[in-house]
Amino acid sequence: MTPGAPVPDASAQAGRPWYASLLVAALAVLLLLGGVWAYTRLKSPFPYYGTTFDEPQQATAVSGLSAVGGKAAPYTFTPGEGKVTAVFFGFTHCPDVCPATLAYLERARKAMTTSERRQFQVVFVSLDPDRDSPARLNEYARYFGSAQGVQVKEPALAALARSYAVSYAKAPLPGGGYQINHTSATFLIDASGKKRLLWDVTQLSDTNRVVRDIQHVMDGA
Amino acid sequence: MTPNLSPTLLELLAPRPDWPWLIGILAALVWYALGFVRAPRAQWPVWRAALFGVATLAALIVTQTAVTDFTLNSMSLYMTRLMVLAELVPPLVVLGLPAGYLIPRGRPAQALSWLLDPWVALSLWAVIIIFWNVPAGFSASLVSNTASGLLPTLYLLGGLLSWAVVLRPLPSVQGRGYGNRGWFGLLSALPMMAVAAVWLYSPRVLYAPYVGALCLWNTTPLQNQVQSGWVMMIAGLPGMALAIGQLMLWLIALADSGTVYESEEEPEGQEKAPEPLS
Repeated sequence: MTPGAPVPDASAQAGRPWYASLLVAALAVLLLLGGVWAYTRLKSPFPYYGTTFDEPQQATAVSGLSAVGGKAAPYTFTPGEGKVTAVFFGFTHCPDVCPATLAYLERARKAMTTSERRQFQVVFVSLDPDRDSPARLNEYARYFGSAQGVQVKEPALAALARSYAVSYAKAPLPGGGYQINHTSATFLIDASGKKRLLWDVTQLSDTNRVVRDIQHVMDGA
Repeated sequence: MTPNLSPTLLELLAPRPDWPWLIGILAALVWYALGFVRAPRAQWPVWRAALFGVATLAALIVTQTAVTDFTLNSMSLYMTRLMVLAELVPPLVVLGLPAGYLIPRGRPAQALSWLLDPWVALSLWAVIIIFWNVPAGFSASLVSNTASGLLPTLYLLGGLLSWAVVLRPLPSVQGRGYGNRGWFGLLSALPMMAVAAVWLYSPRVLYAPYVGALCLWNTTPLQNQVQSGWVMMIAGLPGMALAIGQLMLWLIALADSGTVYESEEEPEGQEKAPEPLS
């Protein structure tokens, strides 16, 4: 489409030796993957395992009830109070995702040094406040580790979930009762209170990578 | 309590501008319109412009509407969006180009000759399909951080490349015959069909972002994954059917003459020896 330039010869492609095509194909693949790698590094210089937020957003505070000394007491997690925090929304009757998430997060916490553990906390917000009393939440969270279980009543829960882009809905079970279908992401919030990244439950099983993400966020990056 | 999980068609099609995409689509549209207006009608017929128009409309629907938001709650909608970009828009765009009228010259011609080489196109397309769809630990960081921003663009470009090899809109730089293109079409359809089969028959949800997702229209994540498999498989069928058709033409030519020609136009009065498929 450049006027004056010679018209190409279509047979050049047809007569091209297969090994030349293969070589260029390999180069093209390297170029593609290199470009993708460069794109992700441009987005975030550190190769986070979790999915990063393009623009880290200020996390919303979590205010509700927790069990303290066997009694329900007001609890507030205020993002930006100095600790790196993993926030997860779930419910104690959950058969799979919630226990797995809490167990994986505890495994990650145990893989940290003592001083890192002091700078890290896990907040577990119940999406089933009708059944998850502060005492039950506390018992459940302690069974899996050291997460802080929080009961937030409706309609504050809906607003809180919306601010984290968390969806949840009651789903009746065939034998009676119900479960909660919900977003299974865990949000990592840095010490200044910004949402930095999220992991899906399937990613959390890779403890080393999860810990590396936490440590990098902890280091103030 | 939860976002709208049963959106109507109107809600899905509510405008939601995505500026980089919009600028890209409009730039392509302007380039096409200028070429169309300047070209003799016989060489750039209206039906080609109509196909390009449909492609543009389809691209606008899947990039400039609320469909994009709702894909967070539906793997099948997400896959439909990707398949529109990879398997509907590209063939329409390629058919919309006036074959034989656009003659790239010089370096662009050389670059296109390499880019539209079946080996190159096949490798790129296979990597795009496999790298982002098959769970692989080594690529987890790249996959999770490029799935929403980069992948739709890669599907569109990969689809364009793939369909351009099959439909040969630039015969001046594309010298491959039916047999070669037929094999390419068949092989390039396989990775997508394989991934579709995995989605269809897997007993558990494999695609990480949708493992615990609340799905649209009251479906479970697993049902949603199965639907995604169907979407992918159905989207791949036209390409595969065309590839089989091209292979049939090649075989018929082979049976008729006992000779396989690499180019469709046999030079007059010139006997051509059969060439191996490369």
